[in-house]
Amino acid sequence: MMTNYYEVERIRRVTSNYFFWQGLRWVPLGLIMMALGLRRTSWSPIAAAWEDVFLLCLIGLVTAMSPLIGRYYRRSFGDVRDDPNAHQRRDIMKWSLVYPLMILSLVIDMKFKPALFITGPVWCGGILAYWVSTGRGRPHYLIASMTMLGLSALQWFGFVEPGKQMFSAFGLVLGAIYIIGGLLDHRELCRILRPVNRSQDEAAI
Amino acid sequence: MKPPFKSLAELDRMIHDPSRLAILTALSSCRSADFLYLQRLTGLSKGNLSSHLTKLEDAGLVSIEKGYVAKTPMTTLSLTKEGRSGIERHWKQLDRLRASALQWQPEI
Repeated sequence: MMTNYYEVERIRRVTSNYFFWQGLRWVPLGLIMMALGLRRTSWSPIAAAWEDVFLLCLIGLVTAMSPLIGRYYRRSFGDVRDDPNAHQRRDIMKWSLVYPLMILSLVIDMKFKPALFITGPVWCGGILAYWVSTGRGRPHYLIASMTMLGLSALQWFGFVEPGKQMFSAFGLVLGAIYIIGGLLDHRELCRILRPVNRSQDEAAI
Repeated sequence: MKPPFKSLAELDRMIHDPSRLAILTALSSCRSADFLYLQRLTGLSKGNLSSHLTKLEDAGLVSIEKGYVAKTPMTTLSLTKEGRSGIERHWKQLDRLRASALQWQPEI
């Protein structure tokens, strides 16, 4: 096998951020986001009386799926234990700056009228920060971050009403980002972690 | 200045083999990884990977732990202290070689 700088750098990034490249983990969260976005809107396929029950059932299902997805990755792709000291700076930035800013932008948009929807640019930055800190290499995150920015533009130019309608759109788009991004992450991981060739094993024996 | 190409011969061949370099680089990016992950990452056959890991273990660069997870055998690999310092040193050497190769002019 040839090992060039690019490949070695990719080995480092994927191994160091293996958990975050397991994209199927994010897909169930996307379903919850979309359900929250559709809640109490005219687009919801669920009757209003059943929406909360449906959401609780979905949360329960997602919680049950999480360890199963983890087991799937361990059995199919292998297991990596992180170096706990490797990402201290990322974790500090994430919990002390990025996440609080993202929550604050949502609170500001909910409280102040007319809402400017600063959530779009802030979450665009949050997604980019996530992409950089988890090994880059997946171009769909750039599209996802621009989509967040585009969502703000929809309100700024009057295509979406500020308030409830905007937040519903935000939930739907965020959910779609989680689902599509998660599937693309998984596809990228499958491309990098090649399937084990059984015929080669037989020849080696 | 010694031509950089002569310095290539001084590289540690135990580490510099492409497959072992990939294995050591992966293990340097985590606390430990299992056999399946390394096999999928490197694309090596089971026999080939085992052979490289044995060599690395004999050289004191990698430690191999065999155990079970719910009745399924699992082999976990991690770098030893010598392995971690060895791969870091090796990459620094390669970076220095690359930098000097870019600057090197043949003597006329």
